[in-house]
Amino acid sequence: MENSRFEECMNRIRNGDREALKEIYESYHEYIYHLLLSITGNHADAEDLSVDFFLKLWNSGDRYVPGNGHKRWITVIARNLALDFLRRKNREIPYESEQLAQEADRKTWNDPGYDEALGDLSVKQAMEVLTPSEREIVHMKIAGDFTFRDIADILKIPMGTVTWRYRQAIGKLRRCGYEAL
Amino acid sequence: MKHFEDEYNQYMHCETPDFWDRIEKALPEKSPEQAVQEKILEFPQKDTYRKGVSRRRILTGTAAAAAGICIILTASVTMKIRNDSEKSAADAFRSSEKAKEFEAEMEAAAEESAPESVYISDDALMFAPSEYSIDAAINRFPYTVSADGSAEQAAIITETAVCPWNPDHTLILALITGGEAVSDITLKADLAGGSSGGIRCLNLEDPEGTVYQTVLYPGETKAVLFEQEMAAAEPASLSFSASDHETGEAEESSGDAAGVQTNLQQESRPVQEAGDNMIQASAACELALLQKNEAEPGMSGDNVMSLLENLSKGNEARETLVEMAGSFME
Repeated sequence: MENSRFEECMNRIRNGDREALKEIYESYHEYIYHLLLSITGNHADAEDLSVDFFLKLWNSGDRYVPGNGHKRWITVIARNLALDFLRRKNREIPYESEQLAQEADRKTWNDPGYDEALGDLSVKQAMEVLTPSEREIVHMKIAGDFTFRDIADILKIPMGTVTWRYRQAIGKLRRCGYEAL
Repeated sequence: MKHFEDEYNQYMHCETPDFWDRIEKALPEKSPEQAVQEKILEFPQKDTYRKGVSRRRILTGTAAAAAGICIILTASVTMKIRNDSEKSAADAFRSSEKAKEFEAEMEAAAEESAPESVYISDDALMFAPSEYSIDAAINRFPYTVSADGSAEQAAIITETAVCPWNPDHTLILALITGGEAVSDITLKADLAGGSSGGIRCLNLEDPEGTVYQTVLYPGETKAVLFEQEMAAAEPASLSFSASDHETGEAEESSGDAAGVQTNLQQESRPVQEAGDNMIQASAACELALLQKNEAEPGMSGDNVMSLLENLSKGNEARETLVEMAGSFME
């Protein structure tokens, strides 16, 4: 969706036009849902948060300031929702889940058979091979079409870290039977 | 080999549930008058805010300021009066002009009936600070503080977290624990290099001024929250001064980026009476400085380990290690 179109929809939302929200939903519900899924790792939570996200758009249409890229704006909103949710649920969960994933990751990928192909995995299976942070970056890069600089800004981490994690993810995906991005 | 991008887009399309019905059912009715009623006021422009956020707006500035003050005052641990001299010092503080100002502002906040303030930024949804309780804000930090009060020395612990109502900012939490009675504690927030731009203290009107002045008794822990812009690569420095209770003299100094190792050493040492005790914001800020100083002498592997140990939390140390590894690989 173009920026101008998004702005128009947000203007209509301010006036209570549900069709405008539907239009944004049609364009972005897949992106938002999978972004939230990459963070929460749970389909039910991702769906609940996706609903919350669109309700927040509806209620905060007047807070959108045009001219700075709507995709980044909605990404930040969705991430904040997910992070707040995880903190409410248990503030250690995101760290621990990432820690456990990285622990398993290190064990797996430091094996002597590291270079061996895992086989022909589905995308879903391949994504599960990635750590949550790698999934998030891959999703934002592919589905969000963000630059590494944008991703670093959104995640508040150094760009070097983003590119490194992305390269790690690419390496793993190759082993799963997918060509480099 | 399959092309991941194509496959992923297809996967997203097929594996996303349709939840529009749920949204539609939960949508509240919205009348056009609703938007008109919300008066948006320009946020006052200050030199201390960087250009990128100059268009930040606030709906009800007065309510935000009052609520912020109210929040921080709520966070302060109630002072324990241990003896007569301490009591008189505490009474003196309470009767000071600053304390009276706080009280007046708290009353104003309580009487404030305006709608909740809402930050608006160029590119991100803002949450009003008043939407967050101080507990919620402080509990965003994964800190651990000994609650038994057995620490022999006063100490400071700092943590950082993404600011929930402004993603371009970071919250810095300074926890001051008292091992011995100290008074006239003065905390100052400053950007590395001596510039104080971009720092905002949640509990004070003056972003460059004194944050907190009180008496800290043994076993007590006090929390102070700062809000700082994330844009600057330099970490925030907090300077901490404390004077002897009896002399009541306090000296302040603005911090500068003296280096991770130095700051960590200072962080764990006892508070110097009438001296400067600079501490450094931890986690991401320390990491930035670590990277900056990596090629400089004195930043050995031992120092890196020392940094990780001083972070004192497994999760944070681990995250830092991962971040470092990522950056070193560049």
